[in-house]
Amino acid sequence: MREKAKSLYEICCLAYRQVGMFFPIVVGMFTIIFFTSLLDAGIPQQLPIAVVDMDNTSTTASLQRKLATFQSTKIVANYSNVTEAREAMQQCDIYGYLVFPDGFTEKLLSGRQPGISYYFNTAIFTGGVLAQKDLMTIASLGKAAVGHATLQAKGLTEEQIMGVLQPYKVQAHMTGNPWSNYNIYISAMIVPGVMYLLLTLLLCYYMPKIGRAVQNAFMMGLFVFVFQFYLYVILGLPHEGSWWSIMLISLLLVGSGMGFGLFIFALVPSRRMSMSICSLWGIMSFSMSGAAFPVDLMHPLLQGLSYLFPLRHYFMTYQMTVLHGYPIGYSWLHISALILFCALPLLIYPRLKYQVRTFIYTD
Amino acid sequence: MFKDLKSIFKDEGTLILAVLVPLLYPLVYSFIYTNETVTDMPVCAVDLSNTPESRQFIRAYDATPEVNVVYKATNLSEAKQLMMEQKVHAVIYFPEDFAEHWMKMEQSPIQLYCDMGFILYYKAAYMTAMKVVLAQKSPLTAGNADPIKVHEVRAYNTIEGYGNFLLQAILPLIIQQTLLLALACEVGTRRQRGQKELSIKNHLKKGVAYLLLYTFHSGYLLVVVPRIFNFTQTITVGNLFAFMVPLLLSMVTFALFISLFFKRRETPFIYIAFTSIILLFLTGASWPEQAMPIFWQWVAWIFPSTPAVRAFMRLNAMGAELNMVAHYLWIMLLQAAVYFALFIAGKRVLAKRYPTEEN
Repeated sequence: MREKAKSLYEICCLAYRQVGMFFPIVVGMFTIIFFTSLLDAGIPQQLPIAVVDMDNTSTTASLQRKLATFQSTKIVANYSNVTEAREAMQQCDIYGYLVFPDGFTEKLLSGRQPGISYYFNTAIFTGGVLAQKDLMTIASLGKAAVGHATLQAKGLTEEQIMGVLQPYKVQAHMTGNPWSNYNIYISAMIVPGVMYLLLTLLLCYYMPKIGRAVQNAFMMGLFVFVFQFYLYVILGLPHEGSWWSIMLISLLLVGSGMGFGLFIFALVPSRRMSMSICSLWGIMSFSMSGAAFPVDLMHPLLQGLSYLFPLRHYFMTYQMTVLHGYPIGYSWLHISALILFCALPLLIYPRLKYQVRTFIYTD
Repeated sequence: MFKDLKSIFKDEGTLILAVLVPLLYPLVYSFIYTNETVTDMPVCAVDLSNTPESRQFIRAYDATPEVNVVYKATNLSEAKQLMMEQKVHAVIYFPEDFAEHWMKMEQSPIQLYCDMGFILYYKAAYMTAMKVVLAQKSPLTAGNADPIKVHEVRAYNTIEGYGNFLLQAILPLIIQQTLLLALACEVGTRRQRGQKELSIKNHLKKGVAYLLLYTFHSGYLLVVVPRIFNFTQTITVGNLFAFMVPLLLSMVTFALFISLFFKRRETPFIYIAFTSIILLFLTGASWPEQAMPIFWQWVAWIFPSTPAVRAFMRLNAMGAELNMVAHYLWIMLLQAAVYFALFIAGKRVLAKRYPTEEN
């Protein structure tokens, strides 16, 4: 048994050495599955929130019942004082809460404009924002429900009551991502970003053995395409842009990653330094792409620096051509930048050739 | 031990990973997010109704800190053109019959076209429009007061700053990731050079050297950096020490265990660098832990970064007391014990296979 296991192990080792591309395949698959399954819900469903009812009357109880119908949040607790709610929120057991103060109903009945407050956790961004969105709507519905009785007595219809209490309503058109699906936001950027980071690292690691380096980088790049296929075909997430545009941006990302990696290898004489630069660039790319925090809001110095990050151009081209389906001409600047990154090794070809010929590894 | 500490500074690789990166990375990150919030995002208004009410609404929208109505287009296709050119990131549109609705006491719809490419722009455009809508009274009943008053309270991160949120999670993560990289790089270099495998005692001494260095680093990362950039800082000195002990123990033992696997100097870059972004998501800072599939919720507990980031965010960003995060501290201690045991067991296995130093 032991012998068998040992020989199986040796076969695996042999296969690994022969193929040598075990790592890109495993990591490529893992990254795709990790992010898409983590964000499978699209937007968080039933995020826990709470109510603090210090008034405890039938009026507040009926208001609370109206709150229970929201999709992205769920009332998990009803506290009798604010301290309990605060402590629950400090432990992230809830992401927001609504407070009916003592004497709420009494003030309401005598027309003395009682207040309600809602709190939401801004230290956890996504959770807090979703709680805020629901609590804001709940509070406005509460306002409407309260005004209801008086206006009904004046003989107004249901529609007119809403029209008087809240004369306008916002109809949001979320083109490209109609459900504000986070799988589109996050996976669509981070997964290609991880592939890009690893592609440049693998190149620098295997250079000057060009065959081995390109083989590994190519395998890693292939997973950018696997990912697009998985995201848009298997998971069926929406994309306004054509398949051609998806192919184009994937190709440009892989090409610019290879170009950047070879460029750094040609410039930096030590493997350790070139890999340090690639990992610095790759990790910073996630922030500098502007997918999470827009580049326009950054310091002007960083706005300028962002042009040096291929992932930034990938993101801009992606959101314009694939997400929104704008004609490709609108992203000409970013496409040209990506092409330039692809061509970088050609610009310093003599140096690259020299480096391949004379590179000596030192640790 | 001091010899080991000195060797960290002598080698270029470990110097970069264990000294320069922990010192400079947080500064760069904080600088990226230094503006914190969406201010004056460019918006285009299309007002076909051209009524005092719609103009008043546009003024109110423009007056908010988040939004800046920079263009007024005469029709939607003109506005869409601006959106495609990335000159605006939202379009607010009042149809011709806007006034007819509220005059008939119906709700008048205001159309908001959002650029979904940027989640922060979408959020700012939509939430701000909602707030302006909620503050509007019907022109028919302008004199009447609202039946109830609604207060919104942003808890903890009162400016709703992006850096103030994200850095609270990234700072403890930097400690773990640079520790993993540096120790794996140092031990991998020895093996690559064909030096004898470190004895358990000498390997542990390296761990202690990193423990000392990172005690200094965690003071810098967890106290000085938040102070420089004015992040929320609610942790007390006593709580900080109570947090740092399990934090450093779990992360150093984890790094010792991981260092068993590296035979080369550069491979840690390939295997460890990209995990940072995965580990960040597992902490539940970006994507609420309650919304994660149960499988990943369990996987998250393998890594010291999960309890560390969760405890730090609660202590430092949400003003939690030590007893509220005690379970995270215990989990870190448990991780330290498990990884220590795994490290010792792993060393025994390696000692049988490879030539090892005598004590």
